[in-house]
Amino acid sequence: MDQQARSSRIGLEFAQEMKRQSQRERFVSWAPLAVLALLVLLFSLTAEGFFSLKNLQNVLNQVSIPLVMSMGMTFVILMGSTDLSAEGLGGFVGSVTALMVLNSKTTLDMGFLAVVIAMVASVLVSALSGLMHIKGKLPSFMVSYAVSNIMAGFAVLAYRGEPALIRDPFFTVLAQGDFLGIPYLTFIALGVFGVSYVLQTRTRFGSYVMAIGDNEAIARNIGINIDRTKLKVFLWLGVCIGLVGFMGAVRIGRGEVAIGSNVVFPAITAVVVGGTSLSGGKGGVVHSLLGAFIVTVINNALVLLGVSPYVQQAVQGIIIIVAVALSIQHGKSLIVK
Amino acid sequence: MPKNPSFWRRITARRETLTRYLSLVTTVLLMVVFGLIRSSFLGPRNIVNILKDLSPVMVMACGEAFVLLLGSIDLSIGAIASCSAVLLTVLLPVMGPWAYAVVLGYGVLTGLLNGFLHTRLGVPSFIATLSTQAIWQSCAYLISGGQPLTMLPPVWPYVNWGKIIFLEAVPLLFLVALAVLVAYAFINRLTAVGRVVTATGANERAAWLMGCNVRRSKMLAFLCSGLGAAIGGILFAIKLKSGIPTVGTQYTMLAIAAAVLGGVSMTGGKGAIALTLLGAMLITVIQNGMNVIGVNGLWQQIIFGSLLLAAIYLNSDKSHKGLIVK
Repeated sequence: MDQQARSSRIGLEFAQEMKRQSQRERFVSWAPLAVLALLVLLFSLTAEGFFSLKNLQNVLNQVSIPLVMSMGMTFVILMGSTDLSAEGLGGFVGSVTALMVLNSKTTLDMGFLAVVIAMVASVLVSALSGLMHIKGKLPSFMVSYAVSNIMAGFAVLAYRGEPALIRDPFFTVLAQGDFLGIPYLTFIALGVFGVSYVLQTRTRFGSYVMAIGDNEAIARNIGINIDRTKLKVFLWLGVCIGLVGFMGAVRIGRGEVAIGSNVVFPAITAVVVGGTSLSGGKGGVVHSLLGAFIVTVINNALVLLGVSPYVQQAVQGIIIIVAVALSIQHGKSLIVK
Repeated sequence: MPKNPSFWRRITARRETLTRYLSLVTTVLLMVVFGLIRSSFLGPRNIVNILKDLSPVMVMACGEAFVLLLGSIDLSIGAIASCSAVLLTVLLPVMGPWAYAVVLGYGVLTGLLNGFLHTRLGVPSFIATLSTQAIWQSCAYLISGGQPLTMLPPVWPYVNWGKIIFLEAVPLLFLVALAVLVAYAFINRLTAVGRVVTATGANERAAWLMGCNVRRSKMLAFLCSGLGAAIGGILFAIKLKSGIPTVGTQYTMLAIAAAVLGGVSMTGGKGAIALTLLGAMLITVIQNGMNVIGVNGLWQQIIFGSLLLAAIYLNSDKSHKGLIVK
């Protein structure tokens, strides 16, 4: 066989292999949607009251906070980092927002300005923990874990053990009202999703994040400013955490540190279940949207099925392990830490 | 190395030693300061208290140190400790002293599960342990029904050994914790599989190429961590004579902080398990001292978080310039 024929055959095989791989990837990226459909079908049959307009409203209401949180988390995880700071920081934002609007504890009545101040604080803290990770070269989840604890301390210190109740009518309406049957908070969450989608698909920043997650060394060599991109990711995360804290506070009507206590884990679950790889560079915000719905639907159905709320966390834990274990490519001599 | 390393270089080269002595010096200084403010701080009763508080943290920290030496992390120890405490409280009336064996077995099992998820399924350790943490926390809540359980007088004979105090200052609990520390340090320094743990943390590929059984040492590290957490939970239960489903939660961070303050590097391969004693001591002295002199407890979380950040910063390895940290 002459040289040319052989090389063309190799080329053909390569093209076929690539095609097969891209097909497989396309199939895998549709998997979350199939899972969601399957879950809805399953729960409609087993859980009484699951398949109803009222419960759809419930799900849309419940999805808002995990959705916003996972939008911030998606970019961090796409980059290959992890952030746990929302637990304390979200609680802190919620606590101080409640203290600054019309409330039962202080005489302040700053209205919307309070939200802005709390959001700025959240962005600053997130940027600070980002800088410690980027400039100090410390592992991101460790820094954010410590920051989370510090901010949780400040949150409790801010209201000194007794949470402030929100008395501002504007925020009460915001929490309970709906438009066309869809709660206002869900519109906020969908707005955040829209912004994230544009950020990821239509801006240079989005491509840079993907590139860094895929291979940081190559991204650096082609001249991407890694540090600046990473910092931007943490700024965006700060915005999302701020919104989560604010939404949590208006939802329960008071500002306490517990607002942040159950937001990180569902968000990581949502991102990972959606198909974004923890090592970075794969997935995206649309995946996380599906993931957020999967997590919410499961939690919602567990409640309807009368399962103890304590089990929800365990179920999420098992889901994360299964999703991560399935998404990791075996056979690669990858060092996992 | 140049002949005249610059000042900064010398400092970074001694960073490790610096943290080690930093925690020792700080501990002694703080003890003096607290003692001056409130003389009862250094009295025998408070010393007993400090040593009793120290024991569970120390045991959990030296288990965690094993995993940190790998360059991995175990975030599940707090939940395992909580679940063990609850489990012990529930089982003691039913099976008597055998409950201890069951709880220790549970600890081994949790460690093996973490190790399995990490080494066989290839799940990154922090996400695997974050997930198992959720599972064990749920179990703790389910077993206890969400309420703190108290030990009733019939089982007191099995737990009263926790009250024994030698020489009016050294509680038996502390000696148990010390024994665990010594055993762990022995495994790490003097057995082949333990030394491979440190080697794996320093350079996994090199360790593998040398023919070390990397996977087995990883399993061992996680096993030690799970077992340490279970022993920590037992000590909590004995100390408080109750099983509280959230007793261990805050100790995940404190144990990591103790290990790092004792000189274990977060990237693995550096540090000694025996020195976690120093880190645990610093943390307990701060905790106890703040209570004794009456500092608002709300500040504790802030102080410990900052302390953890400082400790990781001092202990992090800055010698590789192109290092990619995620």
